[in-house]
Amino acid sequence: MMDLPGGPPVTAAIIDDHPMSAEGLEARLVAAGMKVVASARCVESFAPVMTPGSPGLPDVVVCDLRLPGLSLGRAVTYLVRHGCRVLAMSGWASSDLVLETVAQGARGYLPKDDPPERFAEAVADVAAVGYHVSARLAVYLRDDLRCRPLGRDELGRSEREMLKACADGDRGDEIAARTGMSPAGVRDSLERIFAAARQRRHDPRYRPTPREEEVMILVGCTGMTDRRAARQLGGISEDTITAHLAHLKEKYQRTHPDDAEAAFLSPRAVAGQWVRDLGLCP
Amino acid sequence: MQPLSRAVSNKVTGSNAGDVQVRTEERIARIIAYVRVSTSAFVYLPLIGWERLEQPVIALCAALASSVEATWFYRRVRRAGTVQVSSVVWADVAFCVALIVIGSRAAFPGQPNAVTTELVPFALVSAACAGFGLRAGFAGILAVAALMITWTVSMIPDVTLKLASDLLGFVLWYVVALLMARELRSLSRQDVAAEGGRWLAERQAEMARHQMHDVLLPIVEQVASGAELSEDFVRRLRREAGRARRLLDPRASPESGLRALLLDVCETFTEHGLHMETVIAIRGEPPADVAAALAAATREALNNVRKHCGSCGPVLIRADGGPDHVEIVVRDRGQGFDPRTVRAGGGFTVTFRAIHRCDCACDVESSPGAGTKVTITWPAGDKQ
Repeated sequence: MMDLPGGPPVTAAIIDDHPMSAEGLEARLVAAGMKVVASARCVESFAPVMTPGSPGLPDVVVCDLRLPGLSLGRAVTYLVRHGCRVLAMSGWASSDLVLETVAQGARGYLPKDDPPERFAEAVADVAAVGYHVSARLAVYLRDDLRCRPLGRDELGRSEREMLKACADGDRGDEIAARTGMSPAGVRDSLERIFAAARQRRHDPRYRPTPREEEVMILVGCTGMTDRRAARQLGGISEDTITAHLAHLKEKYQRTHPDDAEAAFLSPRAVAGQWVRDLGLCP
Repeated sequence: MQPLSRAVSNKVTGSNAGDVQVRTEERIARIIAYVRVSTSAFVYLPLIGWERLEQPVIALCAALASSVEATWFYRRVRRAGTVQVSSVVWADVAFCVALIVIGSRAAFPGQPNAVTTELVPFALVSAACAGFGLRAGFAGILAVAALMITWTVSMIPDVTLKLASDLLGFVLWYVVALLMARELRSLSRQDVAAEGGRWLAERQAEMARHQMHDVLLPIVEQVASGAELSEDFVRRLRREAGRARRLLDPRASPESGLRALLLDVCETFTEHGLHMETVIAIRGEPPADVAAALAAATREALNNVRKHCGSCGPVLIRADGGPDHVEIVVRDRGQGFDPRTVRAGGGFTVTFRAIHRCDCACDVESSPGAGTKVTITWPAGDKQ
């Protein structure tokens, strides 16, 4: 955990629809000397905190990914647009979903089963340096780097070493001591790591196009036949839907080289799997 | 336990899906084979008017040849279990073209209708075969065009309105066959999806019932009773919470392999009171002896944590890799030690020998007050 300079305590807000989980988290943060200024069950009920005239935004908003109302990436996008630094958490989320929330602006991710100490560390990190890379997130980011390369110089050696160190459970101060980086250098490296992660997830080579997303949702979430999906999308042909699904499967296989079984799945099944992994089902 | 979504996928795309679609293809093949054989009888009808034919022997040969071809077609299609064998469809079209050209010579000049009228049903089946077997596209259109052109040429000079009706017949049989094939094949795909969905729902309900009865209810009842929770019970809660989370991952939780071995190790040490933070990203399996050695080394590392670390907070286990490399890190935040002051021996010495035999390597980093990091890699020297 990065040491915070002396001053007012870190302020945090919690958005979680499970009261028990929210209470437990609040107790952990308070025990770590932080101040929990708001606790909401959904993004909509947190919105008044973000309106002009209300007391200042908390340093960090810890937001569960699956919420009633605005949820998943959309919730993160909304909070980020209102100037919040979001630390995402969830009971379980696929790596695709976690990285999608990073693409929407989340500053870190923690699974809820991580040890209680980790949450206080993560909130302090986000407040101090803007980001927190848990071991799990570091593993996901390293995988993403391997499966969705942007170019030879997307991340330098120091950023790659930093990701490896995070995956091994090193803390920010240990990384700084080991690599000889200044706190500002650590911050810059984290900034580059997250910027590259966002860029990868927005790269058209690796993500479904908006039209493909529509097809995925209709076919994968609602189970529509190709014909009905074609009609729903404004009278495009059934063959176009088939072509979109085939293209999606190809893209999925390219970005998920470790999923050997995908080769044996139909394009419809792959679309269904991917759309659920990305959390796009309404 | 097989991951549920994969099990469903296997169910949908595997043998069951294959069965439904194969059976549909076989049905289509049988229908078209029956129609081909039965329509060959029409080719014998011109022989009834033997004396009204200029070359009745040609008509006889054409009838016999069509019977032979229909038998061959029947056997070939039944054996293949599908009519989607382009060589068979093209052979049938070629035979029909030849039959029309040669068969029409049996009639007196200027009266081809005396023979060709009876050839119509047999020839139309060939257009239907193209629809079922070659599907929509250039090949199918070419086959029907060949039949239509041959038919038109063979009718000259006896060109009447009937010719238009015959030509329309070729087009319609092709189109109707195309539509029927599409409907039947689409129906079979929907059957597969519906069956997969039903199977998934049944499995999910069964698993949910099992989990609620065996795991969730006893825990909730114990907590609701207001009794003080023992340390053992809290450990059990942690273990069950870990299991429940693994159930949420649709693609994880295999019964065997390195991931399962590591989860088993983690579960054991959770029961021993260690608070584990596990990140296991194993994609594909290393050889079984390597997996066993890696798991044993991890167990030994955790054993040392339990012995020497005391209440050192969460212990990170990060396992990353696949069929050609694996890296496992066991990281604790305990008191640490100076590796130079520790004499060789104990469990790790034995485990070291086993992991060296499998070309694995083990590296221990520690310093007083900074905890310990054990990195186990396979193959040795493969640092990712």
